[in-house]
Amino acid sequence: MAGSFLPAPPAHEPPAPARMSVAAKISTAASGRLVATALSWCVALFLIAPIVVAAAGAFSSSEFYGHRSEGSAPPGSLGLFWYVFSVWGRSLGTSAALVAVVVPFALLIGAPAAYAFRRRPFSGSKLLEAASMTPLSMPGIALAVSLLATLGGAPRFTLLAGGHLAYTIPLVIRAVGNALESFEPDIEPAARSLGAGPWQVARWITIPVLLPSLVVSALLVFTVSWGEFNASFLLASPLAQSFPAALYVTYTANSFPVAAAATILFLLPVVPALVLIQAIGGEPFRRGLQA
Amino acid sequence: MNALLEARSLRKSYGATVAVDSLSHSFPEGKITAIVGPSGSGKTTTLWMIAGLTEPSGGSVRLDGRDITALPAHRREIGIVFQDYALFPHLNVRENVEFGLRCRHVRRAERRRRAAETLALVRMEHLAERRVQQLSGGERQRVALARAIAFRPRVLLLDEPLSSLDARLREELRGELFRLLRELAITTVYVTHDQVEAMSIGHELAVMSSGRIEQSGPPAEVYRRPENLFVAGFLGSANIFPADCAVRNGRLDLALPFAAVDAPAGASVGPCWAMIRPEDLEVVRDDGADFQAAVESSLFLGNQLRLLLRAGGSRIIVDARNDLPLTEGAILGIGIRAGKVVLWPREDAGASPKGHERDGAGPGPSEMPRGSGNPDAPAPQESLEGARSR
Repeated sequence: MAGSFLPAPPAHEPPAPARMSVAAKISTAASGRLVATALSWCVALFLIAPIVVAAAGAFSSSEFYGHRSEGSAPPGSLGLFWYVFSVWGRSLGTSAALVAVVVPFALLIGAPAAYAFRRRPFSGSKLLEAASMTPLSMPGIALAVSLLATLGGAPRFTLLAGGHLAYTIPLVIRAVGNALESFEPDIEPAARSLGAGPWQVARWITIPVLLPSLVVSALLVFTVSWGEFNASFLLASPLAQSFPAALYVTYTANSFPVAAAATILFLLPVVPALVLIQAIGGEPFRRGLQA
Repeated sequence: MNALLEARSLRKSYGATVAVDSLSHSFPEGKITAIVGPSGSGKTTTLWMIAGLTEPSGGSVRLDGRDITALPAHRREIGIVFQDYALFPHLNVRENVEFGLRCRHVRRAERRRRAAETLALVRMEHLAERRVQQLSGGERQRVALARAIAFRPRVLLLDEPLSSLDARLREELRGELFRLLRELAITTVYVTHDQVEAMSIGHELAVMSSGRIEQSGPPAEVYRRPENLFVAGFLGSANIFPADCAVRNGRLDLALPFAAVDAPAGASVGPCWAMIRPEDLEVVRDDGADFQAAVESSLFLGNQLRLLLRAGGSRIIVDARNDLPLTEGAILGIGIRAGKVVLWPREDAGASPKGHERDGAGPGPSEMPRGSGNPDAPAPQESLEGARSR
């Protein structure tokens, strides 16, 4: 908007010192915004690039991607998806079943734990909360081996679910814990003073207020559990193999277009989940949590 | 008087820290009792124990003669306004106010009617459908009050309801809140650290310090006849001097460090502490003066002039008319208003009266901008210099 009636950029004026500092802040904020925008784009591109490559591979007929192709399916058509589905349908089912078990259990264990850590702190609870985060940085192989060593006799599906819970419960504890921090601690005592018994406090106050963070936790657990590879690959058996583990086999054994098509299939339910997380993380989320 | 709410030897300790120390008090029915004290004196803990939100370490809470110590909070019928209001963030104004009724399974139509009625009482009916995040501090405070009274509790507790508002708004809402609370005529306990708020709201005033009630009674009574140094210093400003009562020429005389005056009625012979409020000292003509004092500094407060004087090694605060013609270093004649000196016995010359805990509230004038306030200390020369150069 050059040539408007606005004065020259205030940073170049030599006005009163107080004004100067405000102007300086404004220009810093503007350039800061520019840097932030550029950075966000870089990060987004970096994250999206592999998906773009996979998508291109799935729909491309170019032999560039398919140099290892055995010609098992005609590339460049939707038929490829059906092919993948028919071959890896079982592992898709396993992954779906895993998610169906892991999401509710992660919430049922993680949310009460977060509540206990933040609302009923006991001696050593801070340490315990920190310790509960360690699985996040545990190599999948270590987790898988320790699960096999301790619960080796259990069905493979149970072991898989256990591995996924170890990775996802910390996420729930973190998300719900943060939500608990962000609303006034006195609202539960307030509800009690107004006549709400323990059950009514939970049903009418605690759970509704935590609901956005519970939904976000569920979606996070879903995306992590759906995509978890390291531990799942090591814990997999021929009958209980999660989709990412099956995907590995596809990438190594089949052609790239087939694997890429499988990847797109894999991403299909993740994208809406991520969009939902983003949406809930916005206005309604804050509205629910701000006091 | 029929006491509805009663605390008996109520005690709360956290490990070695004693928050409330065997507090006993009867809160008169239908009246407002203001509990005032510095932060950390156990006011909020007392309130939470009355509400049943904190379990006492000892003692009991009684409502209408019934021991309710073991009764859970949700069965006590005690409304509470929290310091941070603690409005439910996921409910709108009306739903917040209806909450107590919802817990009591009041029908929807009746609930609405009573919420509207209560909101009208606090003049918030036009904002019933607002989200609480959209409210200003003053509006939140009113919703919190409406929520606490909508279910018609037996007792209302307020925990510093004005403290999170800025000074101007506080002033504005104070009158409105006080009028409303008096209209409600419900047994009310009002906790605050603000002495002006406490004295103006309460039918009854209780001054708390270190987990105990130091003194209670009608506000004017507590202000005029504080029972110890802490109460004297916490409510308003006080001049406190070591003094002696002795019989001279057949009359009981009070010997202050800088003057000898007639002892007040009821005084007994012996060493004592004498307390005189700044407003009970007046600048008078020399012939009517009880003593002479030099002006050390003065503070213009708008509606009055606060003088820091020095006489016989003691520092004295005097509140004077704001149009007093004042010359630097002037010597003024000061008169003590009849019957306004409060005496406490003084066991040994070095000790200070009971309740000597508050910072800067040692014997001597409090609430002056500078100076140690110790009347026994030698006159600090630099302080006098400073006063002259003002």
